Amino acid sequence: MISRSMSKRETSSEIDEAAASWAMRIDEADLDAGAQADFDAWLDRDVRCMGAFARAQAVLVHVKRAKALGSDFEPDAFVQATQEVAEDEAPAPVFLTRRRLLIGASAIAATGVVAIVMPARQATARIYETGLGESRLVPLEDGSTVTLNTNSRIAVTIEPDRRAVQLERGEALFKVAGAGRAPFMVEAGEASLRADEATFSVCRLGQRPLQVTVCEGSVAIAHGAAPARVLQANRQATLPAKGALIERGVTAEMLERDLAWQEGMLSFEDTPLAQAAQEFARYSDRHIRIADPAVASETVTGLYAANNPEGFARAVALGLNLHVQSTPGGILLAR
Amino acid sequence: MSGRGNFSTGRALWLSRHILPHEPALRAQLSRWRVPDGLDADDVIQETYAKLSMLDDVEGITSPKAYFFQVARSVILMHVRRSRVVSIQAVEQIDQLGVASDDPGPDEQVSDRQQLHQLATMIAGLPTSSRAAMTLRLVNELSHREIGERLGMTANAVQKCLAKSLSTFMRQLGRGGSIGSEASRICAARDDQPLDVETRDQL
Repeated sequence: MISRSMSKRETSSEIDEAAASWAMRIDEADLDAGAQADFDAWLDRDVRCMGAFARAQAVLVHVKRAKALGSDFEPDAFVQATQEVAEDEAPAPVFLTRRRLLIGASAIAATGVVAIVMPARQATARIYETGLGESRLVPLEDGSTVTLNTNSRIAVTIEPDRRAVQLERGEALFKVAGAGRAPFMVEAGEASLRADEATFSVCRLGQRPLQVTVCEGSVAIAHGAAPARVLQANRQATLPAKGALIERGVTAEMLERDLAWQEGMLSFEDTPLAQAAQEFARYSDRHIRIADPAVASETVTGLYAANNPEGFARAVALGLNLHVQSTPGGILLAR
Repeated sequence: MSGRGNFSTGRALWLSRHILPHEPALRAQLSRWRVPDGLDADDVIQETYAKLSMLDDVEGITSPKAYFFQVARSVILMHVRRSRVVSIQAVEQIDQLGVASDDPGPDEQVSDRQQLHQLATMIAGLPTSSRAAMTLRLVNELSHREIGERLGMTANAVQKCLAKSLSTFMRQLGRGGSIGSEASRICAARDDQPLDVETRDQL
């Protein structure tokens, strides 16, 4: 039997509100000692508080995917642009339309963003790009999507008889929809990829060889003069500038790890510190330097926020017993 | 219950990807039969998340949906056991909760594009100032103080306004995410299955 009296029992929605408030506070900055004590006391009050807080954090992580909409995101324009594919949704309530007129302009003024205008048809390629540390989901007119990782740029041409994307630099995850349409072509340097309905990522970084990873479906890869090779799901191809394509299998866990950037995270498993530091350098101009080779070859495991090299350095320092030093050019890790 | 939940980013990410999408399905299931009096679906959901946050390790969970339903079931069973009268029928119905495959139902299989459409719709549905504040926080990642400076609000007011928006999202997502689903808030099916699990906490 529960001894709590009904009159004192907080309602679940009161708890949800308090949980939302703590989640927003903690998301912004660490709590000071006083606030931490309040938070702990609140958590201990009722087991539901702990659950509501965990759920509030999960919802916050979920809505943070809005970041994929890009910094020029304007909610109304996006709602409009994606409306036709969201067939399962109930029709937009009328108030939304009115609200669009009433507050669209003020929201734009307030956030300093520019509305996305989606012309029905365009003869030339459209350019999408992300800056350092940004990621962005680009819905294409044909129902496919491209998610751009940090510092990436694509040119997209979607026409009834042609679907082509040029990956000029960086990394992109393609989810190609609509079998029976024109083949979906991706050009990346010397390589030309072709898919019908597939999910695959392509990584084109300055010095490294091009890498193609297929999650679902299959992708035909033409590279230089060699005949095209078909890469199946759970396979990864590395295309050196000179020499033949190298293929290997990837497990579901490896795929998930490789694509953690979609959530703004970097995931490592027994990754040498030097390599992890190189990954972080793609996301920020605060580079992590490692004092000596012995430290550089230590390995790290875990999930880290891609845009927070300091946080990563501090966590690693704690685990490997290193010192973190903030320098003008970045962060130094040393014994 | 003792112990503190795991509130790491990794756990929040796991909950958002593997549990949150199944919440509307669990709520639909909960609404089909009566949970003990004094306890509602929201209580069950909160206690279920509490248990999930207290797990040491979630890596081994191969079927998160089934696991989510199973934990919810154990929460209800615990409350049923505490209530004085337990009908056979109640226990039988609760047993059905354990049966949940991990195949996403039609309502859970949303494309990225639909998911983003849903997010944009949710953000677009917020009142003007909340919406500007939420966009600046989520998309531009400004601090509460910086948002306040842009919008002419105190940092404290920004924090309150963001918290309010988040609790709106929490309500909407639990119920399937679309704005219109607010109407289905309370289990309409509650009355078709009279049960005699009723005396609890009343004295």
